[in-house]
Formats: sequence, C-alpha cells, structure tokens
Amino acid sequence: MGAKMPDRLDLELELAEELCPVAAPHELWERIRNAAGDSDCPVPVRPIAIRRPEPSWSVLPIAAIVTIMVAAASLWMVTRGQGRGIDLQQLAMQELRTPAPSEFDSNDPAQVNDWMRRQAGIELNIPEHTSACITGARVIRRAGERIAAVTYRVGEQNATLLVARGGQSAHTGHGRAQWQAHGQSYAVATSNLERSDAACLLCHTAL
Amino acid sequence: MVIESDRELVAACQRGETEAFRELFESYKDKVYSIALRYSGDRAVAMDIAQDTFLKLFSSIRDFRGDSSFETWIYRLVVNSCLDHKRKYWRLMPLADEILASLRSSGDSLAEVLRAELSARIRSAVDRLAPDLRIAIILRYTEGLSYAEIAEVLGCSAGTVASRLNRAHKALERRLAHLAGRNGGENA
Repeated sequence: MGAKMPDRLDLELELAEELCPVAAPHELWERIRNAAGDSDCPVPVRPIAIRRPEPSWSVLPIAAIVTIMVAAASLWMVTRGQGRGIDLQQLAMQELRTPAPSEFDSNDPAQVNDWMRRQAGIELNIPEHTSACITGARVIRRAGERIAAVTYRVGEQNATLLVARGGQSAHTGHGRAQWQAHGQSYAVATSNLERSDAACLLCHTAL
Repeated sequence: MVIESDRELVAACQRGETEAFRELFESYKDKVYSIALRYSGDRAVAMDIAQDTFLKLFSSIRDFRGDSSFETWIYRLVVNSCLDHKRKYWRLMPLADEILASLRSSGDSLAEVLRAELSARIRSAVDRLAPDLRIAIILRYTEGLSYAEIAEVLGCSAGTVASRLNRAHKALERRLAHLAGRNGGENA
C-alpha cells in the first residue's frame, strides 16, 4: 500500500482538524483553588464593608486574654497532631469503606509523591519499588486542613493511607494504625483486619 | 449572546455563591484551556494561562455588568492572558520533538507516519505566527467564531480580522507548500 502527502493542502480543513478544541485536565480546578489561597471559595470575593461600632476600651483586655488562650490551645492541638480535632484513624476507615473518586489516577509512586507535594504540601515519600499497587490519590479537606489520601492494593487487600501535616518530629508508635513522624501524622486502614500489617508494604519492602 | 443560565450563574457568582464559581468553571474550562493550549503549543504553559484567566475572571466578576456577552468577556480574558504570557523557555528544536513524539505514538504504517509529520508541521507553522495573527487563527478554527465575533473579542474591526486571517493563511501556505504532493510509500 502506498502513502503520500495530499496533492494540495486544504488549509482550512487541516487547521480545523489540528486546532480542534480539547478537554481541560481534571487538575485545573485544584490548581486554581490552591492559587486562590486554599479557601473553599476559589474567589477572593470582596467582603461588603460593614461599619462596626468602635469597641469599648474596657473589652480589649478580655479580648486579648481570650485570643492568647485560643492561640495556645490551637498550638497545643497542632503539636499533638490532633489538628482541629480530626480523628485521622476514623477518617481512614471511612475513606476505605466509602471511597470518594480519586483526583489523581496514577500507579507511579514518584508521580503520586510529586502531585501530593504540589496539591497538599505533604511529603509522602512512597518508594519507587513499592510492593503495593497504588490506585489513586486525592486531597481531603477538613476544618481548613489538607489531608493526603492514597488508596492502594496489596494482593487482594484494599488499603488507605492518610497523611496530615502536624505532629511530633519523633516517631510515635510507628507500625500501628496511627502514628506520627517527621512533623506529620499518619493513619492506615485495611480491608483485612487480620493482616492489617500488609498495608505497611506501601512503604516497606518487608514486614 | 448571553444565555439565561449564564446570566443566572454570573449573578450567583457576584453574590459570592461558591457553587456557582465551580459551575461557571465547568462551563468554560474546555474553551479556555483549548485556546491556551492551541496558542502556546505547550500543556504546562496552557495550564498557567488557564489558571491566570480563571483567577482574573473570579476576582473581577463583580465588575461584569453585561455590556457585552459573558462569553465575549471570557474570550477577552483568555486572549489577554495568552498575549501577556511570556514564553518561559524556548523549546530546543520543537519541530523535531513533535515529530519524534508523533512517530513514537503512531503506528507502523507509512501513511500514519506522514500524517503525524503533517500534523506536527502544521502545529509548528501556527506556533511561529505573530501573536496577533495566531490568536485570530485560533479563535477562528478552535472556537469557530465569525469575523464579527473575533472583532468584538479583539476590539478591532471585522476588516482588520479579515486582513489578519488572510496574512496568516498566506504565511501558513508558504510554510507548508513543500509538503503538498510529496510522495512516499512502497513506490517512492
């Protein structure tokens, strides 16, 4: 069978074909949200200016004390890795039972690490030669925090890893279903409770 | 023309309703991204342009008063983002890159290889047009706009649009003329 370039280019036809519309990538919305400052509303909507009455001077010391107490409580919560009362383990179980659609479909650990770093500012460090098969990743938003969610399979077993910023720099109970390390909090949930340690194969080569 | 759903969506956005922004994005994301991609010829740059466009759109939507159609307003935003966008880097031998990529993704048949080469050369020729000619070509062939509609988006007369499209066509024909009638295949 022979092949040849067209005898005469129908330029208009070729341009219409080559410049046809394309679908926008799924991650565009997330990029816009992140660029807009990670608010639920992607838009810096200008608030309507409301003229408030001047505060009474006698209220200011009380307001200052309350502010300091709230700040101290928040700091304590974050250093304990309990960011705004989120139960990471419970959330991981919930994700496993009713998984939401993933936002990033890739089984390449490097791509998932990179995507999560960009989308949530969370370091996953899933090794290149993981024994698990990654099935997707997404960012969960709870109480103004971003939580990395990675779903994967180890053999026939489904598992979910959640990682949130905040936590002790020292390791605490690594190997359980929930732990903290390197300033991040971790939780895993697996479909086979009798072999829940298999979920660790995402990052470890052997149990 | 502003369709009624657009009008309602814009009004909801102007009231600050979060869901409306997402809906507006879903309605126009493909148009915005397509123009950005066809203008820049690079997916990463197209994402930057599309992001800039939507951020500008969302932050200035309260200023939209409906003097022109909403679609025209969005087209203006994306066109301005395209024209403002400085190329971050020069691709080394872009044509060779595209041809190699096409060859890798195409089948073994010579017809497919030639088709891929033609596609790459057309894209490269469009990419080398001056920005004002390129944007006119893209609004015409990616979005299918009429001369009058392009003129409204670009803020010029329909005659200027006709002139730019004519110059672009001639430049493209000149750059692609050598491809027509070039034979290949078993008997070549």
